[in-house]
Amino acid sequence: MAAEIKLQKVRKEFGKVVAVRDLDLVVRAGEFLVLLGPSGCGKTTTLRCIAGLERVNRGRVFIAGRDVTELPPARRGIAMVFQSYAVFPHMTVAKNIAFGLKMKHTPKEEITRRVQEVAELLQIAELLDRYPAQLSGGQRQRVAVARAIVMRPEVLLMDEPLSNLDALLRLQMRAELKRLHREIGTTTVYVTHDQVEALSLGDRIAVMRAGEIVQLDSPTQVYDQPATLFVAGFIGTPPMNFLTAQLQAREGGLGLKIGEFSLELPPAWQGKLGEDTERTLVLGIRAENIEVHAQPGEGRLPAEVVVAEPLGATQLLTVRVGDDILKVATDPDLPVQPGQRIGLSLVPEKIRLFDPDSEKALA
Amino acid sequence: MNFRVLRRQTWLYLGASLAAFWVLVPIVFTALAAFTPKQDFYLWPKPVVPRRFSLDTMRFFLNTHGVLNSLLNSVWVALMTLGLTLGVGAPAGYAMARFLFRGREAFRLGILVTRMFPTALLAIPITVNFIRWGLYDTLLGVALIHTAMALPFAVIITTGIFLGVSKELEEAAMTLGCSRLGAFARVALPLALPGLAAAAMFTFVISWNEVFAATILTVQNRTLPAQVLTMLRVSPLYFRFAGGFFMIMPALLFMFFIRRYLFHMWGGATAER
Ligand SMILES: Nc1ncnc2c1ncn2[C@@H]1O[C@H](COP(=O)(O)OP(=O)(O)OP(=O)(O)O)[C@@H](O)[C@H]1O
Ligand SMILES: [Mg+2]
Repeated sequence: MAAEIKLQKVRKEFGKVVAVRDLDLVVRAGEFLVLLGPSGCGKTTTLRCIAGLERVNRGRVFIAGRDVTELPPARRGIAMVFQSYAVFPHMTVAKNIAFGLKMKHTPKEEITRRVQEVAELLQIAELLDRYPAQLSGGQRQRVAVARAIVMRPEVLLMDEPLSNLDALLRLQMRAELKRLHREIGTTTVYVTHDQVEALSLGDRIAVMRAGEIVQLDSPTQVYDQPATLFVAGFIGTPPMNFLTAQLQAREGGLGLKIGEFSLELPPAWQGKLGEDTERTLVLGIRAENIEVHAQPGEGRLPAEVVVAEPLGATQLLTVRVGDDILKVATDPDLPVQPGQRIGLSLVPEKIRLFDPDSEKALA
Repeated sequence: MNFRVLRRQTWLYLGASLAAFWVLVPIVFTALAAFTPKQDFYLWPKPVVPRRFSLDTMRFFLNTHGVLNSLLNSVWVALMTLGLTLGVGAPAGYAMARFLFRGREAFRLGILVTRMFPTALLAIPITVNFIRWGLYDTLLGVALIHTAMALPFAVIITTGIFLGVSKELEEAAMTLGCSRLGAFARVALPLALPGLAAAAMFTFVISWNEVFAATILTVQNRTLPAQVLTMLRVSPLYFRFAGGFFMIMPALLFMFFIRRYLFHMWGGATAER
């Protein structure tokens, strides 16, 4: 049932715009892969190239080992859920779901049975006789998903299927899509620009930028070990903090100097930072890996509070260290005022280092 | 409490009634006159409810030499025009709505330019050419001219219609197993139907009402307006009313039958767009 998808140097141009730039990607059979990236980075175009709705300029597309580059969408064994749902307004829900099966000349009884089955799976069985105009956005979205999975496709493609739902419904549908994938196990490519969605749904996440994949890893890896400054700054709420730091060789190891403050690097970094041990680096650290002390002190990175935002479970501080602005998550009870001088300690194991020129992560 | 709504409704209905009145009064009078016996026709003041009903005038009109024939001609010409116009215009409109092709804007403008030249100006060259091509005094010839008149509007109207049908719907159909053509036939076409019906109605009425070209291009095979025009000039008044009524009727009937497609929008196909 589930099939592997392979993109080989796929390129798609619209006039002068290169929407997809020589993309290589393998989606494993049965995997839930999320394409994540900012608006206009080519996610939808990549998905449409897999679907066959867009002719590639160069490169090849394989589904289940079969070269489908020249095949129309109908013959690729895919099903797609569109951002606008694209539910046919002139057909009832039942007819909508049955549409693809009818195109395949499936026997009538089987159509009825499978439509019923999938409608129950998505909890829309009592809506089968309605027209799309009589449905809410969330129900329409379910119909779109039902219409796709009733085909038992080898590959399921979804383009921001939750973006038109309100926040609460989105949360609910997200969990449901995850359950659905576990139940049917179809290879799924899911496009989103919402990184929370990506982190929660994906077996792996492909982070895209300007038509290229910059990192393809598991959610934890993408979150904890971003491959580039771009990924680090794009993923997470708030995104990773960056500090300008000076690398220093010391006796017994390596250290970093941030302004007047100096910091010992864990021994694991030994030998991973190259020959030049006297250069400027970008230190990256997540908000939750910074400990806040109400007073500056010995061994603490001095900082000044700019804004304090209570967020219920946590308190988000915006602080200034030298010229750099950091976001720090802290206990909501910690009494801090804007303008107050505080001390920070960074969890050494959670530090990421980036080369400021190549923007790539080190080690 | 709903006073404002009520007042707005009242004004709305008042306005609508006035508009309906404006359109209907001449039609009613024409109809009454057409079915009044000759003898009562000149009665004044006119009774509100006709005292006597008679088919005599109508029968006489219908039996007049050439009328029935020209009626059939008119229907044929209008239907041919309809087929040609939508057959050419709807695909053109679809292409304008869906594809970015070189010269699309020029094409759009070019379509309108064809309406720049008055038919009167073109009458002689067209007649000459039609004689040469053997199209003179044929129904096809008249239908071709009517098509030329209706086509620009048909293209513009259908462009709008197909722009209103989301491209993603067709793409969805394609991912579900349709070919490009199948997706058009199963999704775009049914959704465009109300709009296409309107375009069809418009085309039909253009052809049905057109007098000038039909008069010039035919001798024997007259369409109804051309026939009636030449005939009624020399007829008594009540006879003209019968002719007038007959001219109105088919257009009304046509609208009546096609109306269903105009209003029947699947409970809000427009909202979906
Ligand atoms: N049909 C088209 N014609 C011309 N340019 C296009 C077309 N489709 C996409 N593009 C361009 O290709 C680039 C990638 O577009 P794409 O729709 O794939 O982005 P995306 O990552 O899906 O963005 P979003 O998150 O906003 O949906 C953009 O610069 C866009 O302007
Ligand atoms: Mg997109």
